[in-house]
Amino acid sequence: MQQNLIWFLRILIVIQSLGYAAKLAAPSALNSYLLGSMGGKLVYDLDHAVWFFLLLASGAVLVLGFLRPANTSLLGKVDFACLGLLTLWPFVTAIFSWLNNPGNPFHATDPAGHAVRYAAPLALLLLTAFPEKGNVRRVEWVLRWGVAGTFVGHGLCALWLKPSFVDLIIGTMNLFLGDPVFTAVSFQDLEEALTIAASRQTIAESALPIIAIQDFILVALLLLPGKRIRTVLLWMSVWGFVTAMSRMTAYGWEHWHDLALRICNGGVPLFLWAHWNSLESKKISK
Amino acid sequence: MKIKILAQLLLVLTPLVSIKVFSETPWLDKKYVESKMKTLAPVKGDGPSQWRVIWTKEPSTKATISWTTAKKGSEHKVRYGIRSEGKLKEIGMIQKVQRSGAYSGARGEYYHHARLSGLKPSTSYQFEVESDGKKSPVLHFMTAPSDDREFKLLFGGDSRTGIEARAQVNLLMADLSEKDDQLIAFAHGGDYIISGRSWSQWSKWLSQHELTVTHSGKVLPIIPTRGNHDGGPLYDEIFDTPGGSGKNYFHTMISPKVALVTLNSEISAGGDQQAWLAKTLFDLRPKVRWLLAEYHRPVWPAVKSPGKAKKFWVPLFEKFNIDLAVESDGHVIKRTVPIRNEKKDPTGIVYVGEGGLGVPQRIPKSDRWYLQSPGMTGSDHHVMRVLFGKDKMDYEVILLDGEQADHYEFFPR
Repeated sequence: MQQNLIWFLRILIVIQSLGYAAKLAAPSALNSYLLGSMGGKLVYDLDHAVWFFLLLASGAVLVLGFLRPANTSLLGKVDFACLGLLTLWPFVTAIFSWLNNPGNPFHATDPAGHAVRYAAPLALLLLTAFPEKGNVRRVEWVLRWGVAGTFVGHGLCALWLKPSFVDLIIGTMNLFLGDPVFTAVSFQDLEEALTIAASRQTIAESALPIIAIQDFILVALLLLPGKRIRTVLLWMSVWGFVTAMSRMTAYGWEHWHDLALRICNGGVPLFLWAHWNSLESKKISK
Repeated sequence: MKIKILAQLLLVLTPLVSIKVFSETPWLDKKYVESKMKTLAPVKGDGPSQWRVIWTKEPSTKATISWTTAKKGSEHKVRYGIRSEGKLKEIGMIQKVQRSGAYSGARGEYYHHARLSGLKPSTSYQFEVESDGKKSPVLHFMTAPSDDREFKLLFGGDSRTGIEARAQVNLLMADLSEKDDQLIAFAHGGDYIISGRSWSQWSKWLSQHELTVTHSGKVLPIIPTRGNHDGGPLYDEIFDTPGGSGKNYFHTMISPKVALVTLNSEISAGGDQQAWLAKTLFDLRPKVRWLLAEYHRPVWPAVKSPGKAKKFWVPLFEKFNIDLAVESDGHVIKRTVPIRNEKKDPTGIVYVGEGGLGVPQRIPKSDRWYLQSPGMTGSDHHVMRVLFGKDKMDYEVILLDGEQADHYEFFPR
């Protein structure tokens, strides 16, 4: 695999991990799970320690990308350890997010919906540890399944009209079209605003099932054995970035970390698209 | 000599014995809590249990009385009457249940809701629920006022874990209620239990709710809010779908001068709910002296990240100058500085709460700018009590031992 592509994956993981670190301004899912048994002080310290290690590991992964140490060297092992932590944390938070909310169908999709977040560092770990040619194909499938999981998880939430997804659409519409509720000054304005707000809610609730179907179709096309449909990946990448970006368009710039920790939603499909492009170029040049 | 020694012993022992026997906070003793838990009406047979009074829109003239039976049964009713007018048997009116059904996921237990209307304001009503001839004890509650008199409400959230601590807070609430006729209702900020789809968890919560009933049988009507752990159909089955199915947002005119707007942070905050909020605040603000909002996920949190509703609701809170916002979810105690336009502003909105009805407490992030003095943070099981007066609104946080952890006065805008 081309080194510039591996670099791209590395940068995606660093951005994602910084998003996770910023997210720790609030208690993590692990914190919530352990609160009852360990007490407030201990879980607070645990989150703080994870925050510190995430920052440290993100920095180390970036620097070690430049240094490119040998796998068997100490720095090489540090690189693996850091990537291991950056794989483990998204996985742990997805699992505990589900466990903390028993019976909640939206949280139950988190282990799938967050799949690309732990698949990406795992893929880089595998690529770095086992750079043999035959391994690249396996890594590609790790990423394909990761992307598929994320799109299935989000697709299910869209199908079930997850309230926060409805708000993402309404908030984004309000950004571009104005919020009639805030600008209303008279009772008549408010009546009008009510109608507009209701119509935006209807639009959002009508769009989500269509988005869900789109997600499922994309996943089916992505996982077709023996096929590499690049257009599908390009669209998945665009869609992944758009939906990640909607956290900021709906809620403002202060939600940058929500975009950062979803950077792989669009980034990994883009990575795979570029990889498939390079494979295609090689084929043509032969 | 012996008499002298005996007298000295008595002098020393009497206070010790009286502290043990006549403690003002007996719920701090685990054995006392355990003994109280054994007295709760069991959910078995066809008799009533888990009784509760629910307030939603017009509590001066309406209330819903709800209970559970272990079997479907055939005849369920409430006998009720004005407490001062005599014995219930003689003066009682009867309201048959309007809604009954099997609790989702339960093992045959049924809910029953009898909606009383035409009640007199500021009146103590006695009632007993009856299922197939089996009766509850005679209980009583006070309707909300229709005049501008002073009264108090309790607020609190997050009773989902810490079963014993939850029982302790319930006993504290019963004690506060017993001592204070002005205290008329309790607004729960959500997260009653861990999994909203688990009947066994709800059943335990409902049975323990009986601990909020005083020795004299005074019941604090509950104004419910849905929390993030309260998903699924049981919430609506237990509280008679407050605010309507799929919505669970409504406003309660507790008196002509006090309104509580209950919002649902677990559904879309924008769109319909935001527009409803705007219209409701527009309508209420000129009419009431004290305008409050309650919802589960904090928009100015002491531990977590701001709830997504912040973008949709806070500009409206500020536009219509609500007097207090009550939040839960963080598992701490907090009171923010007055906030307007993301800054401390004496004309701004104060946000209180964060939940301590039994759930394990977290360490608040007290370095956040909006929690600096004169705001406050803490970490303890607690309940909030608010006195709605003509000249001021008196807010206090009461800990399990009865100590006051916070106190703040609000003046009419």
